[in-house]
Amino acid sequence: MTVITHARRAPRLAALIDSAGGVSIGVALAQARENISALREKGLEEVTRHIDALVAMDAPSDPDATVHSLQQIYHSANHIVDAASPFDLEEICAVAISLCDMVDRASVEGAAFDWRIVAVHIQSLRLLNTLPAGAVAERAEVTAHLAGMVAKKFGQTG
Amino acid sequence: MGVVGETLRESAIINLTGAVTMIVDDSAFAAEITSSALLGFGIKTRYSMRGAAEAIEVLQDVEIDLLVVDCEMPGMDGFELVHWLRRSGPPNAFVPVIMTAGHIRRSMVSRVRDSGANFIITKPFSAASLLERIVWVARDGRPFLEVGEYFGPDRRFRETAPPGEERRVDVIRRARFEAEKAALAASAQ
Repeated sequence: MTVITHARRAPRLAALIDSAGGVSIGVALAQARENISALREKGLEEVTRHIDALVAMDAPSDPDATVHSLQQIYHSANHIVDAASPFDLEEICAVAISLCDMVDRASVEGAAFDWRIVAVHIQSLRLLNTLPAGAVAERAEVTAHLAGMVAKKFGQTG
Repeated sequence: MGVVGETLRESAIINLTGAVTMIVDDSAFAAEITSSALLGFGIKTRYSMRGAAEAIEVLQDVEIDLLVVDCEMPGMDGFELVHWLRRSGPPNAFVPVIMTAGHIRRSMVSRVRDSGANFIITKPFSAASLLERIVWVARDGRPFLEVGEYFGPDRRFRETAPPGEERRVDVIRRARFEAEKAALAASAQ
């Protein structure tokens, strides 16, 4: 196969980053973390909004609806990861990523896929989102139960 | 902590104030998170777009210094946008691109590899990992290659390892072998 190498000038960003002025990495990171933490309340609202959207979805009734539903679930789960991940909502993030995995699997397996596992993920998200922050054991129990179920269901093939 | 990742020292000075930056993400909140992190680094996001089509309108005419784009978007997704960008000619074909993803579908792995982006960050990403990647792509000296359908930075990391935890199996295996050899040599003395 033909390989063409393109000469290019160094990106302007390379010159900018070393130019006079600026801030230390430590200060930049502290500022960034402060800016992000100011968005925590909004992040929690976003998580709730997307979980509510998932809960409100009906199970698909035909193949076309299935494709559409999978896409919607995948987008909502992705948005949950977006909103939860900066705020250390690790369990919610992990379940949302697991839900993405399930949707990905469903896209491949089609009709053979057991939709109940998607429903359990959505219920787990709802439960995790309503549990108080201090309910560490309960949160761990929800995620362990879900992980066990996924392993039992797909352990031999996945 | 004295260091950030493997490549950044907390006392090192960076100046990203003048970087013309575009974020493309269908989630307004995710874009806000990214732009808040960038603001902390000194970057005022010039363009925050909710879709590839509106991004293209700007990218055709305005030179930017950094593009942060989400992989998963309705309609034209992030991969297609970067694919278009790399073939768009001046002013932005060679611009540093960081892609972000909450989740990568198994069917998308080859698209990730062939996207032409400089780096892909999977979430959850921290402010430190984002900054580390920005500094890395700014100094990314890899040549651009055109190979079949692919147009983008050389995908083989020759002189510098990619930032973050080592994930290449052959490198991990070699490092483990060298460590075991060193331990055996030490115990034999």
